[in-house]
Order: sequence, then C-alpha cells, then structure tokens
Amino acid sequence: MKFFMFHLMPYRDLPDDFEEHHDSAWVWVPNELYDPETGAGYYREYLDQLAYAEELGFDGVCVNEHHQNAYGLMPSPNLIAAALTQRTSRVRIAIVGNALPLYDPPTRVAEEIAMLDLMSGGRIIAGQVIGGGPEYYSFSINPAEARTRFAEAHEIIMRAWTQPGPFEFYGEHYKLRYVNTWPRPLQKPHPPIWIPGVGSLETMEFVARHRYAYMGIPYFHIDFFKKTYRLFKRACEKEGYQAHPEQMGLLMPIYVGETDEEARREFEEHFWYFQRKLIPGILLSPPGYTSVQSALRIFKGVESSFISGVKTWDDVEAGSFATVGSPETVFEKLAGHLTDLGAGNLLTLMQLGNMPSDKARANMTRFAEQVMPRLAEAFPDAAEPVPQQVAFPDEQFAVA
Amino acid sequence: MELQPTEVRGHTIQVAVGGDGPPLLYLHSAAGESYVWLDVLNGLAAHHAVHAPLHPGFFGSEGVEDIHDIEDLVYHYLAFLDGRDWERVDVMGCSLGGWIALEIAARYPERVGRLVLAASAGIRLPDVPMQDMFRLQLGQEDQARALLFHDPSHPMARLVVPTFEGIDDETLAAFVSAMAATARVAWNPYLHDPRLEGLLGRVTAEALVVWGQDDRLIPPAYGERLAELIPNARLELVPECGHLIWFERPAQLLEAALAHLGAAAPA
Repeated sequence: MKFFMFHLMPYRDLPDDFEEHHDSAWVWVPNELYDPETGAGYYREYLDQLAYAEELGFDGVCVNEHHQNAYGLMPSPNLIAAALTQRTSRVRIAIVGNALPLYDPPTRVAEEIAMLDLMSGGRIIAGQVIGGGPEYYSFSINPAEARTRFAEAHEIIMRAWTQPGPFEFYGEHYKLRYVNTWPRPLQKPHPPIWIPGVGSLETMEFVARHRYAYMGIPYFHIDFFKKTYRLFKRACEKEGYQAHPEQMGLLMPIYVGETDEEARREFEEHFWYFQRKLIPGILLSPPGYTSVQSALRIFKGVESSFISGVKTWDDVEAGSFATVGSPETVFEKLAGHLTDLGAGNLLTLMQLGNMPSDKARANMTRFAEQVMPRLAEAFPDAAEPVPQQVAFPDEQFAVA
Repeated sequence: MELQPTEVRGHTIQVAVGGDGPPLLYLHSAAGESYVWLDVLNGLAAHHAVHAPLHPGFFGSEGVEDIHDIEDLVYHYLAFLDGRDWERVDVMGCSLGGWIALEIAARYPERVGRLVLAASAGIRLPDVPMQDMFRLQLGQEDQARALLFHDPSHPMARLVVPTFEGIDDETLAAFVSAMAATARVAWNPYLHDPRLEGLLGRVTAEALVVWGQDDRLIPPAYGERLAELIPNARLELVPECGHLIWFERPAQLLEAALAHLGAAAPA
C-alpha cells in the first residue's frame, strides 16, 4: 500500500450564516469574503502539514487544482508543488491537477511539470485532468470542447516529453508550429500519469489502454466506488492485463481519534462545514460538459450517492463519506474498503473543512503511528511491477 | 404539421412543416418550440407554408458535432435554403433563431425577404448586462421560469421549463441536448457575435423587431439598439411580457408578425 496525504487547502473562515446567503462556494462566491492576512497564514500551515507528512513516513503528498472558489485554494498546484520540492526530499509529489483544457498552449504544462520533475529529483506524479464543471465557468472555456481539448493537450504534452523536437502539431484546437520543450523531465519515459474520473467508461478505457493510474473522484457513497473499480478492472482485462493495485487510488476524508466517541466529537463540525459550505457548487455542470447520458446519470445519482445529499451522521457512516474513529475502527474500515476495491494507493484527506492545524497534525500523527503500519502490513506492495505506461499505444517511436 | 427528415450537408435534420402560402423559414429559440408547433406557428401556417427546421442537437436533428460557432449555423442554413431552392425567403427568428437570422441577413442580404426578430440574441451592449442562462442548473427550474417569463406562474412557464425531478428520461435528455447545442455557439462570447454589430448595416430586409418589455435575459435595450442598427427596422414592445414572447404573449407576436409579413406576400 502506498500512502498519500492529500490536501485541498480550503478556506476556513466562511461566515456561520454563509449557506443562507450563498448557494455556491464556487465561481460566483464573492472574493470579498477572502481575507489575505488569514490566507497567508493558511499557506504556511498547509505547506507545513504536507512537509510533516514526509516526516511521518507517508509515501507521497497530493496537491490539486481549483479556481475561483473557497473549497480549494490551489489555483496553481504547480506553485505549491514547487514549494514542496524544496520542503521535502523523499516523498512523491502527486499533482492531481493541471486541468489541461485551461492552458493554451498546453506546452506550458509540459514545461512546468518537467521543471518540477527536475527540481524534485524525479519525484513528480503528473495528474492530467479535464477540470471540473465550475472551471469552465471560471475560465469561460466552452464546455463542449472539454473532451477534445483534453485529448489534444494530452497528446501534445506526451509528445513534447517523449519525441524529438522541434515538431509541428496541428489539431482542432491547438496549432503549434514548433513544439520543442526544454527542459525535458527526469523520469523516463515521463512522470507517471494519474487521471481522475467520475465513472465514465470512456475515461476508464482511455486510462486502461495507456496503463495510466485511475483515481475515483471522491465524495460518493462507497458502493459507487465499488462499482467504479469493478468497471475499471474490467477495462484493464479488455486490454489484456490485470489492473495493478497502484493503478487505482481511493481518496477519502479520514480522522483518527483516541476513541470512536472522541473522534466523532472532534471531527464532526469540520465535516459539516465542508459539506454545507464548501461542497455546494462543486457539481456545477455547464451544458455540453458531459455526454447527455452522463448528465442524466449524474443528475439522478447525486441525491442518493453524493455527499451533498447527506443529512445525518448516520448517512456519513453508512456511505463512508468519511472514515472516522479510533485507530482500531479506522484500520478495520479502511482495510475493508481497500480489500473490496483492490486499490493500492490510499489518498488520505487529513485536514477537512475548517479543521485547525493542531487538530489536523494530531490526526496525521495518530494515523501514521497507529493505522498506517497495520495497513502496510495487511496490504504489502504487489510483487509484480506496475505496468509500464504507454503514451502512444498505437505507435512505435524511439524514446530518447 | 409534419416532421420531415431533410438532408443538410450530410446530416439528417428534422423540419417541422405546415400550412400553405408563401414560404416562411422559422428559426426557433433554445426552447426548441418548433417541435411542439406552438400557437404562433399554427397562426403563421394559416397564411404561410412554414418550414421550421430543428437546429442540430435539437429533437433528433443530427450534425451538432460540426457546429462550433454561429458561423457554422449560417452555412448550415444556407445549405438548407439551397436544398429548398429558395433564392430569397421570409425569415422569422426567436432569440437564438433570431441571431442566426441576423447573421444570414447581414452576410447574405439577398437571401432574406422580410424579417421578423423576436427577442433576438446576437449583439452585446456593454452597459446593459444580459443574464446568464447557462448558470442555472437542473433543479433550479423556479429561477429559470423567473428569468424567462414576466409572470413565472404563466401556464406556459411550467410547460417550457418543466420540473425535472422525476421527469421521464426522454424529455430530460432532449432538454440537456438542446442546452448543450446552444452552449456550443453561445457560451463565449456569450449570446453574441462581436462582428455582427458592424455587419448589420448590410441588412436589406425590412425588419420587425419584437421585444418583451420585461425581458430579463436580453433586456429591451437590445431591441432598441437592433432597430437602430438595421437600416429598415421597426421596434414593437410587448407589455407585461418576458423573454419568451412566443410562449407568454403568442397572440400579440402573431398579430405583429402577420401584419409585417403579409405586406410582402404575393396576392
């Protein structure tokens, strides 16, 4: 099992009556609510927490990308990753961002990730994401172009990293006369690619074909993930191989207390801050962003299986929207989920909502000391190596 | 009314056709009203052979993947006119359909006879913001009705914007698909084409511009401006009416349209 500490870097000071006056913490949430003095402190605290994860023995840290929102204040995950290259020396740095369609030309992403890979000594995991619905409002990018822009940008970046330049790229969206990225990444043939998905088959098939890693988008009922990972494993089988555990990641909020009662007492208010104030707006779905079928599925599935529909603590427990309890309880629950899903990457959200730093750090410490070793023992790393990722399954070319 | 499948540039689209008389091309709004053949269309069909093609992406009209901006719709409809052997035809367009009609009339003025524009999109007034129709999500039907109607409790409001909770898949899919098709051309720049304003001086058609006095999506100032920019145009405001005139005040819209088109009809 590989353990990652995932951070959202949320804004913790939305007013108590925020949800009475705002239906969304995204896109239109007035930035007058943001206090830069407080915010500066948050970046210090959050970077400290991620650096602390290395001390505690985590295998990696994860940063992510969102724009114009209070939910996650890393509009540039690459900046945070750059800071982390200097604050850490061992952990993997997974950038579960760079929403490719937002960057024109996408060679900018190829350049920055290559820089980060070099600056970190080859520790970067390169997420490549389409970007959530809200980002298409925030960037005024046509949601109808989300998928095709992603596909083209992906191809440009992978070619920029692996094929000799300069070369020309003429696509529907990007017309680049000279692609010739300097520097090139340190890892060969390129940093590992992670791709998140909400369960669409097209994404799974794409990930399976390239032997990339698939990360289920969080905050759904645990049964939703079980179905998702079954489908992903089947997609890999269709490609003629068994999904490797490290091709799959489970992301969820986790809180470890001394006892079950203390854990809930310490954690619950932060969960509700997160769920009531920060989540609304996350599912904004601009027209054309998904296929009609997916739009229907999401619209109908949200009430029953997404975190926004959760009303009581019993709902939280029943759907495993967060894993909370004593070290023993958290171990048992996570072991159950990881067995069911077959995932080999556990992405832990240890700071949630308005949880203050001392509490988040205590949570991390208890998890690392009392849960992580037991999970590591129960889920030893697979003997077989992770499948070699293939950027261009249909092509033969020399990798420099 | 009958739905006639028609080939346009290699794709099959659906065309609602009805009535007798001189031909009239009716270009529908994002609400896709041609499919349900409204009162307005019925009334027009009493005097005209009304041809109301569904835009690609609406109710079974194919080829939306080839539509990337408003200009693609201009060439789509030029091909449609050619297919009908119409060198020149009267055109009525509502909202999105009005925008398409304006683009055709400005670029190919010789193809358009008389022109009726109802609450037409197409230009932008920097000082008069339009509301964002794409901001509303499934589940916000109350807000949608308030945005589109003067009186959100108007009986048509519930028909045009049904409550989506528990609705049948087919209706929901048609709505999602129509909104996606609209966003393809209207997402950014939002509901307008920055080049159009400068081209409107080319329009030779006599134009009637009809606007709901209480249009919250595209305020009446847009109607006033269009009537200024189109060389031969007249503005008619409909009181106590929101954006969807063809749903909220169909009788007034029909009367104005027929009066305007009738003068051009051959005896």
